[in-house]
Amino acid sequence: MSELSLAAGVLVLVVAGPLLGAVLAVADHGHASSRLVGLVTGLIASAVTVLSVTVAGSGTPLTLVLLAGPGLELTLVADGLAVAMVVMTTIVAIAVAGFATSEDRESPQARHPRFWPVWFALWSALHLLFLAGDLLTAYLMLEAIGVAGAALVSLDGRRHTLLAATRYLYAELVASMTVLAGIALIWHQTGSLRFAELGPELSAHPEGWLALGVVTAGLLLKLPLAPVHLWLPAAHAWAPSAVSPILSAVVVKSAFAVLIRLWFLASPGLVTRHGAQLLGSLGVVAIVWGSVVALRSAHLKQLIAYSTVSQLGFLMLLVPLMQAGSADAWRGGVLYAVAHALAKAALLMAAAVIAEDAERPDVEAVIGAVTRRPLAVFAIGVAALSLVGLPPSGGFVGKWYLLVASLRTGQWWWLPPILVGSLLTAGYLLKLLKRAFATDDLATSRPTASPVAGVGAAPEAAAEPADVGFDARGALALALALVTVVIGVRPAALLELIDIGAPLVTGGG
Amino acid sequence: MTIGAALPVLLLATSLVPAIATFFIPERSHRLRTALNVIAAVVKVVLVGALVAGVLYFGLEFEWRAAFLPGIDLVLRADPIPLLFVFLSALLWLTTTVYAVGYLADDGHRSRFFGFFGLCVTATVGVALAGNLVTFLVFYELLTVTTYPLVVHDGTAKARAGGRAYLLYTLTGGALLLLGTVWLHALAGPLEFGQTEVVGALAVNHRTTLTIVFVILIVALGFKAALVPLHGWLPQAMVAPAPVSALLHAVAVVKAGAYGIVRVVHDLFGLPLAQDLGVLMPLTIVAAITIVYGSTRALIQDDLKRRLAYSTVSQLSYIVLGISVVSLSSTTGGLVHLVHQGIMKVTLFYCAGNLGKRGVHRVSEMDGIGRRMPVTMLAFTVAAVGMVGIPPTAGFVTKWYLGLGAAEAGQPWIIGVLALSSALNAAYFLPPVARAWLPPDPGERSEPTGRALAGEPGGWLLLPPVATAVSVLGLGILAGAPLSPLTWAAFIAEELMPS
Repeated sequence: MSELSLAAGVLVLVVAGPLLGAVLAVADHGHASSRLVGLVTGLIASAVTVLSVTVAGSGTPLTLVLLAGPGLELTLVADGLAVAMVVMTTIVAIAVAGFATSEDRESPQARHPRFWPVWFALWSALHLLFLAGDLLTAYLMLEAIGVAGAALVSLDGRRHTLLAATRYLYAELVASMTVLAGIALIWHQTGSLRFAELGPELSAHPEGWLALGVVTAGLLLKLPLAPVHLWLPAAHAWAPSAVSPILSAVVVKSAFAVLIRLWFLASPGLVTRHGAQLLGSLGVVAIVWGSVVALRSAHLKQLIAYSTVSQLGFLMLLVPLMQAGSADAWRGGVLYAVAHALAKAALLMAAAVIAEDAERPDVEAVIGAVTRRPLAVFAIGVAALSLVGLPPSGGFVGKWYLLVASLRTGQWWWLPPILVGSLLTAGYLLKLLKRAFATDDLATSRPTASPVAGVGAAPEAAAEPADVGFDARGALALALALVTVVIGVRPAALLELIDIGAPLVTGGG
Repeated sequence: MTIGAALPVLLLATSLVPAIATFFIPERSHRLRTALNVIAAVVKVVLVGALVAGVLYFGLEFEWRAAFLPGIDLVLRADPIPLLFVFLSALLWLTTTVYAVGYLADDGHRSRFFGFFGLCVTATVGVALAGNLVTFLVFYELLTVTTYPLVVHDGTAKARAGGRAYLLYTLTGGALLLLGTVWLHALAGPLEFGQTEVVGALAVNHRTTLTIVFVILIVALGFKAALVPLHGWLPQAMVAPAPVSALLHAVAVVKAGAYGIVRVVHDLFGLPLAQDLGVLMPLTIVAAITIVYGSTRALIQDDLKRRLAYSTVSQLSYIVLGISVVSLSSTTGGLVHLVHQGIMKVTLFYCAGNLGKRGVHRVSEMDGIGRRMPVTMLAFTVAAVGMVGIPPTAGFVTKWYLGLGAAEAGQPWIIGVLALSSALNAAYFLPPVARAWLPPDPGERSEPTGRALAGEPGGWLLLPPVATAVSVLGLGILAGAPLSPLTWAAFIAEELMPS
């Protein structure tokens, strides 16, 4: 009994820890000191570690009913999917917290006072969303995440960021209302909103399909999946450098987690081949669309934002492959989501460091960066390894299982999108890497260099490595990227965790 | 951990650990970096010696495995064919490290260079010792990415264009290799090199699928092995610094492709099945086309390194030709050329690098260079003669066995291809040699100026080509000695032949 209550306490702490951070940050007038941030993140990290070890050790999902009553209930379910997502969120959030405090040290007064409270609240909402055992909690958290995300984007108050944040917020509102309408339909039919209780009640008749379809439509706009992704690139590209990593890495996984939980854990009886194939096809559209725009993009963070659009398409391939009965698809899709989060956050952090140095936002900022910021460039390289899906990286393991699932279910038509999509990914990331190694055209492309400087003299000066000191933020980005390599070398533990409470695994799929 | 499991891991660690350490060495600490890298290379050669001795004299089995994906292990195993490749890569890593120290003496970013250089060799050893296709894939892709920073090391627009071509070709190959690997895995489950009977058993029900998988795998590997028409990156990537080209063309990248083809044919499908599927003859034809095409293109290149690059395209396909013809001598010739081509080509690239240091980049600039740089040009001459296949060099041994094998297999047309190729080899290798040694035509004599007046470069740059050139002769003269690569290749070939 005491073991259970310990686990329950830890589960609560996982959600409440970031909230505590938010409260303390408000009390600190928003200027969260690095000691405060360190203490709170340390607390959360310990709680998440204990939670993941407990769940992985027991091999069964951990369920905790906090409130029970008609219409007002709160259940936390820590199954493999939830714990994997929480671990992913925590790792990314710790890296971003370190990144932001490092920024604060360099320019103490630059941080908006509302940043830390909102940032911690977002973290808490993400944890609660992933652990939510019922649709209503999930919906409320999706709403909270959307509002907090848009608020963080808008903090610097410049015209184009406000515009981007407003579009983000509108999209979130439309999506939320759609999801809510769908949830109402589900409640009307089943009288329950707990994921675990929906299955038998939601029957395969038009009303059930309508409900699932409406919720799904809302979630796809939130995710966002092409072709309704248009709000994402501006919001992610204009967000401050300590916010974009959380948005592109973790926030986009929130709707994904709810979607696959609803489809395959709550109402598997409703999922039809046509619906699953449609979602998979939209995934392919996203892969190609996102990659092609990223390939043509000249703006550094916009390129990375379109990369997110494209990578979300890969995640969507989980749906048709799961529908066809492959447990490998679940492993591949969820692990790919985790690997993408780590790599994408590392990529955005490294890009922010490099762009800040060069004082320009376009891809030419990366020119010659390997001399100025070797750690950040290395981070981009390692992140690229995982995003392209090359071994040894988490991205490789994820793609491996998606490919295995395609072949085992006979749905060979997903093979070309996965492989070609990987090559396109390599194509747009190579745009960054090849510029990083450039030595010859620094004089013409750095705005700081005088345009009349002698062509022969400038590269000489640039070749002399400037002493930038220890690049703490670049090192953080590199450490985060290297986590994907650790996953790629030793994926077994994470794969076993993901299998806990996964659909099809116990059914011998 | 037993010695049998420890040695393969140590072989990887002897380049991985120094490589990572090198990244942290300050740029100015030249001696520390040099000592670390040279000592690591020597230790690796000693370990490979221990490995070979252990297998040959003590009959030890060297295998390390660790769980990777559920049901799939990462396996490193010292089988006979891997020994041949790991032996080559350890030796040439040592000479190339020495050469690179001399070549980059005045260059910036040496810690970065040697760091990636070490990672590249780690990946190559992993490719060599891979005990199954998944392990092979992991290290093969690692090799692709760790080589990229070396190719673009100079950072010039030309280097970046070369690096871009290199990555786009090799990553496409990598994607296909992944497809082939997953497909075979989905068909056969966990599969190790040497379990040809498992794949053979599948052929009863899955003939067409297996044929498709074979073609996918060979095309995938063909990108790195520079089979025509997948060779486009190789002449572009030769803009890399000379030690990188040497490594690229002799041991690491292209050799990994050719070596992969060897393993797919012999250790995955097996000769009987490959013969039964009818996939060997097309492979022979592709190899023959590549041999002639590469030589023809080499003929018209004035840039010395480009000429050498096209020569690599041609020479690599001798390996593919050898293993795709079913006869004892062909297989022997193909396998031994893994070693012979590496040593000859590495010598040529060292020499080209030395010439480049003196401002000589083109064949047309080589008039009379033999008198100013006699040692470099002597090494060049030996290796060039070897490439043409004149006795008593290593190249002769290869061509002799390939020719013999073609006759044994009843495919005399291959001898015609070999003869044509040798004639072309002579036509593009002997003119630079002749220009270097013969007195220049008095009518066109131009006064050498500046750097071109200087003679031989220092010892770090001379020792490696001399050592490898001596090996080219040694491998030819002592081909029949016990422990020679030829003896070893013949032993392997005998095991591989369908009874």
